[in-house]
Amino acid sequence: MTQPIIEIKGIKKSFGGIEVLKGIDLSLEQGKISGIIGPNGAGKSTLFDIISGYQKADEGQVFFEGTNIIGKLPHILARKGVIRTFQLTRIFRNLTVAENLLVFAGKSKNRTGNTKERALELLDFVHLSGLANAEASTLSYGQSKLLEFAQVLMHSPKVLMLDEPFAGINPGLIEQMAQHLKDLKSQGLSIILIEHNLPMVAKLCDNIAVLSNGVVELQGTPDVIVNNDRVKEAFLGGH
Amino acid sequence: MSNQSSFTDLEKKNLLKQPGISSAGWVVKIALAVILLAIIAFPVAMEVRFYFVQVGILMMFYATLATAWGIIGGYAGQHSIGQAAFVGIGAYTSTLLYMKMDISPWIGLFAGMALSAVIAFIVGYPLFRFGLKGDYFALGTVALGLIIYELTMSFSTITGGSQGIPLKYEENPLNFQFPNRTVYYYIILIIWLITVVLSYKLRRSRLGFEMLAVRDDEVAASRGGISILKAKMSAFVIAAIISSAAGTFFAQFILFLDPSTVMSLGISVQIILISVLGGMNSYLGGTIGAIILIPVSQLLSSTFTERPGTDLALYGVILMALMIFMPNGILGLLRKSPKWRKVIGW
Repeated sequence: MTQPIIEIKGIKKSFGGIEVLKGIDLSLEQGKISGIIGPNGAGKSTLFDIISGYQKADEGQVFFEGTNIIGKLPHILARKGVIRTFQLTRIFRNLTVAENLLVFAGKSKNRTGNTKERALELLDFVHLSGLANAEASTLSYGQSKLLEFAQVLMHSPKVLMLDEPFAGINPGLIEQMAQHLKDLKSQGLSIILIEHNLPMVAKLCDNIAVLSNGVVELQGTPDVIVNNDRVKEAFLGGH
Repeated sequence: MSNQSSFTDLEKKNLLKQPGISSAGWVVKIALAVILLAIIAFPVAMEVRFYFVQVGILMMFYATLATAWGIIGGYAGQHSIGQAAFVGIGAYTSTLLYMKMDISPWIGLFAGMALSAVIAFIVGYPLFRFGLKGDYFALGTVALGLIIYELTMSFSTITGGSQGIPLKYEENPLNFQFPNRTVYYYIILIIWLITVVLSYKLRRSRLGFEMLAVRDDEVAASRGGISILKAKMSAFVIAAIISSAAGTFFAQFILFLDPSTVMSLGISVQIILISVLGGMNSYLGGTIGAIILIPVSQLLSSTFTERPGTDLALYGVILMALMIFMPNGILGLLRKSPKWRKVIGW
């Protein structure tokens, strides 16, 4: 087993007396694609929020490259290389598509080189070159999702956390994005995915954790997960 | 991903060009230069009546304040409704130093700016650190305005309270006092010009860009490594410093100071209306708004002198109509064009 890039120890979180995370222990390996799946309300996005600094855990610790990052503000973690997307797309709607990428130039400690060239390459990659000068508010949902994907890649992150990255994107582009994620992995990037598209998760991920009722119910390779009866029932209707 | 983008060199240059005047065509550049020259030559080129110079001074005073408000309200998206507090701090600091300690208002100008920066920091830090935004932030700034106003009223032995302070008149450039209004016109012209250039440069800077990102989506901005606190605080402090400088000027211009003249809620609202009408997201918005609203307000108040309040009612109707038909202000009409968008720095 390779070195963990993120180690989660005993994370608990409640909202108004309802325990959403009941003590999560999870180790996410460096240079791998890890998937987190589970039914709605399982606590996947809450766990993402805690890792990326958007919510405070009631108990527990999160280690990034061996350092406890609990309580660190999101922008500090982003500068260290922990970058995420959100379930609901977040872009700067009053800036142009190109500006949406350029705004992050120079904000990463991991990135060197020509950020403007990088922005143009990323626009090409997500097929938004033709809309570079358009206001981001004019983009469709799928296009916004692609822009957000390009935004997070501007940073050259160390850990890329993607919350349902394939939702609302056409199948052709999903394949391209999946290929790009594999390329990023081969360059040494660690990726964590929350996704409901189980076949895609199984195809992409090296390891998968199943969250249910605030605990890690199952963890293993894609083969182990997709052949588990309970997972089959929950995601594939028992087939 | 390929290492080469599909953009031509010209496309790259245009795409990555910073917003600003350089994006404008020659006609627009010449027109702007002519307007600037006309503003500079206005009081001396012809025998302009005293009244018009007064209106010109007021116009630039409010243009300065509205441009400064555009930095916090437009760029950073934090709608401060207590901006007049900083106008008052500037006016009272320089005036009290001059009246009580014989310190030149030129020095008082910088003392007021420094004090405003400190107060903006002390007030802004808890507001922004604990995440007050939207209506709550606006209410916080209303409270700031009211506190400064009431304190000025209460400490009447120092500030003159509601009776105000008449400034001693000793005509001397070192006392910020001049024989004719034209000099005041040029002083506020310089303050206005510095403010517009600062706002323009800020819009093109990394910090300005970060303010726009925070305005649009704080979560996305922080995800990108942008400090929300730093962006908002910077905008609040910069706007406070400029407002304070304008306040010192105003005190020296009218030579009389009382809380309702420089720091009432009505003045804060006027500043916001001017900025919103012109287009608060542009460095030119405050100026465009002031060029329209100040003469209209002066005209209405001089027309309806026998029916007080009518001018304000009409003023309100005009503003309501403008806001219904132009919610993004006058310059907001140009933002759909990518070229104009860059010129106005939207």
